[in-house]
Amino acid sequence: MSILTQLDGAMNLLHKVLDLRTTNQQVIASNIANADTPGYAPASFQFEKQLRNAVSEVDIRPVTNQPGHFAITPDSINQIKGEITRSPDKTRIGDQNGVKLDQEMINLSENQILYEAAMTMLNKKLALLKYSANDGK
Amino acid sequence: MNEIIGLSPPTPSTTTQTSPSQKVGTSFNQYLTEMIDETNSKLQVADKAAMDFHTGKVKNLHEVMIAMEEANISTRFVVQVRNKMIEAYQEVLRIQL
Amino acid sequence: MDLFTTFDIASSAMRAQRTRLNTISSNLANVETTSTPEGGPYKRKSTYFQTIPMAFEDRLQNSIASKALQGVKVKEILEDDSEPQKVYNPSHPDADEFGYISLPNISVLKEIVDMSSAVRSYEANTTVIKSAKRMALKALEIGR
Repeated sequence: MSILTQLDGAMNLLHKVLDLRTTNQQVIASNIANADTPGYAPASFQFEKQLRNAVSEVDIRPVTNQPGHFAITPDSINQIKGEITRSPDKTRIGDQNGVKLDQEMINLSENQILYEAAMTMLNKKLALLKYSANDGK
Repeated sequence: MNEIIGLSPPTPSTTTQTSPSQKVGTSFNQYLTEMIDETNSKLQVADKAAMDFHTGKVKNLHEVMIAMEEANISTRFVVQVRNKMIEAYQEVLRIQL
Repeated sequence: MDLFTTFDIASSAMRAQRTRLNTISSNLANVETTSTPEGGPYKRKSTYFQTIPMAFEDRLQNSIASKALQGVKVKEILEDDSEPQKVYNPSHPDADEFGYISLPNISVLKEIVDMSSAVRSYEANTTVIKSAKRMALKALEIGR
């Protein structure tokens, strides 16, 4: 566990978010791949609630006079695993395949955008650290 | 000169009372400290915005990006000011008496 | 790290859809085939999909999700054993003693609808591959 992620709660969170979004991409890919498999129940990978719980243990208020520090322990974030819920087809017609292809495509795009957002934010923070470490030269 | 060399947080007397004429010529020390505090809070705001975004509390990506960029620019500005100050200080040291 | 599993999943689906498209095109080509080497008219073929587990290495990392990662394969190609259509055509060489020939039980409309469904799934999987590729390339830009 690098010292950077120990000191900076936000960077630790961003790292974890990248991992989780990668897994989510694979789960969505499985749903899309099995859009025609009889009896298949699409899986949905949820983790935002767990993230919110791990982060909101300490309420952080940005105040100009106090350099408060984040009390998010690296462990509470690292242990987030997310959960999978399956939603089987309830219509009882056809081959009992529960995949809604249009919904899965939307999920795919949204997940990709959020992944790239986390990536960009992580990059920005790293670039700032590099800049400061180089004394701005 | 003393204020530049001795960078300590301003004593309460200098921060609380600023008459209009004093505001124009507030000490550089004070200005720098305020800038650093502001940068620090901008960084915290940016971090919090990023975390709120990814935990699903707020969904406005553009605000997060703007907050991060503001913090970025603020930090770079402070670093440059610091560099210039150090340069100026070294320049002064070189004055031969 | 594991966007390559996504490639595997999507490409397994593309392979399966291609097989499905092949059976559909075979059905369409043989709409009027009254005799096959096995005897009797052509029997309509269809594919039967089944999931296959896809995640091998990362069972250790995130076991909650790795069971959910499933590709797809064609388990078998089913032959439709329903009754062939009987059409009255006594001059046909394959006509039976009553003058009827047996045509395959293929509905062209149904096959074409099936075909567009296969194409749509295939395209959805290419989108998955494109997005996984883009995410992986973005990861290469960390720190640049």
